[in-house]
Amino acid sequence: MSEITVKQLSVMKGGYVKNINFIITSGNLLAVSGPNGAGKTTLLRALASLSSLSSGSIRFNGRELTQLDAKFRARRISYLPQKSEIHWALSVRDVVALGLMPFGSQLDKITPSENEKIDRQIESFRLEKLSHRPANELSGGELQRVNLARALVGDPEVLLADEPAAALDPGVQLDVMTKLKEIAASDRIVIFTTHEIRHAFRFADKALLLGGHGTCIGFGEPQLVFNNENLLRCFGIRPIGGEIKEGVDFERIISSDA
Amino acid sequence: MKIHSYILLVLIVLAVFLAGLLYGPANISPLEAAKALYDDESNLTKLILLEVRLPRVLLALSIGASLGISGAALQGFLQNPLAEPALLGSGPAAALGSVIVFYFGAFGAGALILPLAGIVSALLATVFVWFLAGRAGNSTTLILAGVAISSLAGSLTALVLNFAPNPFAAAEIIFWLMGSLADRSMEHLWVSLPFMIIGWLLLLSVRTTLDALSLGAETARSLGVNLRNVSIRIIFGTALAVGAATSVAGVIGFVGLAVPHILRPFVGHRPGSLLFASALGGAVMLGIADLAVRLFSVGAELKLGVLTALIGAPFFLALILKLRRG
Repeated sequence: MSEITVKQLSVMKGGYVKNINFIITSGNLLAVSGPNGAGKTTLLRALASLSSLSSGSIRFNGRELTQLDAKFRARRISYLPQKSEIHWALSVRDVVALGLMPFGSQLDKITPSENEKIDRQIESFRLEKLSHRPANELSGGELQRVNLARALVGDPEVLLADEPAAALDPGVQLDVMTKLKEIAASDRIVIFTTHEIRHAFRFADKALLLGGHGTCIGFGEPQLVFNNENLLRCFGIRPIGGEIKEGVDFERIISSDA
Repeated sequence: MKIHSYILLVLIVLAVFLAGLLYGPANISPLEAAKALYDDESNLTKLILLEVRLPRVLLALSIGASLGISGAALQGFLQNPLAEPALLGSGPAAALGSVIVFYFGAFGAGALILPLAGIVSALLATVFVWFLAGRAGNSTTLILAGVAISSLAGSLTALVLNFAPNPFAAAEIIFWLMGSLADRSMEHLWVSLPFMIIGWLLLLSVRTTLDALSLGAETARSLGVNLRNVSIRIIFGTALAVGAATSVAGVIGFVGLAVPHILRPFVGHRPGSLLFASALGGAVMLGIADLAVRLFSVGAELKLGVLTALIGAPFFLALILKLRRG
């Protein structure tokens, strides 16, 4: 059982979040939402130890995240940045294999047991036919499958995904969300950021809503967090028909330049 | 790259080494060479082999290796196929250091003063670039700092030429800057090789990290990579290797750019594996270039740096066109 406890977290450098509190345990999919510039990425980067905290604490299984050795942390917490970069024409298989780097694996010396782990992910994300293709030539949806396979190959306890469904077609978006739900169900903590409230509402077990200036508007069950008052306050929208439920669409009430 | 490809590259390096010993203005057959070397008395063939050609060939191979591995490391680190060793300023700075020695005619202090001045100024320039770029290891500021230091070193070199005491000194400096391995002795090798080897080892120590950096700096950091540590090793590794190389041979371009580019498909585009392959490839390329310079010069010897630059410019243009289309 893994647990992340965030207490009075503030980050002031390279983004802005203020006084964030929440606890999340394995088996849960947490959606972090909020308007542009609300600090979703900043929060996720802080959870991945990529930005330094100004105050407050992030504890992972009771231990201060900043105190953990970088390799120790990398073995347990995987991070998918919003903009996935693949320089050079590395093969799909190599990209997946890089996920084992925190365990001391080297691309030109892959052991049989490492090969087994890589094969398992390649199979699980249906990448068999692509495995020798250069990863920088794949479509957005294919690439996101490769990235997820890379993030999971080391069997982490936590997966942090920044806008994993952004810029993908609606079908692939649903694939990605379903996969994240499955990953969380296999006893992991999955935290993802999204602008798509319907995804958060439909798939997430917990939701964290950030308002302007990085403050927390609400944390808890998605039904409770995405209430009409919060939606109006954060995004200037309300559900058509006045009630949020699965499949609902939204209408703009307050325009952003108002 | 499979192990037999590395063995093939090593064999080619050996072949280039032997060819470099045997061929030149006076060709020596292997039999003659063996006979001369086993002769206890000193003889002309032995003199040519050991005093003239051996240091020259060994320098060509080790300098080529330094340029190749540095180019591969910088391209991988900066994620930019157009990066090359001169980019971080150590080459131009080494040239400046050596030119200053020429200017003051400080040869009285011994033959080694020239390479030592080159290495020291390459290191100074690198430390300067390091502080200028900030210690976070951001690649854009690093390139900008390198370009700034390179142009400063270039203009100071021009200044030294401007105030050269006499036309002969100026001509000597210009010829030296063109890059050459003519008239180098074993002493040059002994003073520069240790620095080059430390540089190679520093660069080879980051090969796994370079692979991770293919996924971008953010992902690499999330995989446990310490970017600051990596940039220190890369900056000082290239400074030592390229600074030592430039201080002995003058400015030799193209090898650091082209060799990694040519070999990349053979190592599955893995930046880490490319390091060792590019060291071998650079040795082969500069070894062949130096042999070509010796064999095909008529009258004045064609300078090695001029030859590599002549081949390099069209290659660079072709690379840009290819990148634009890609």
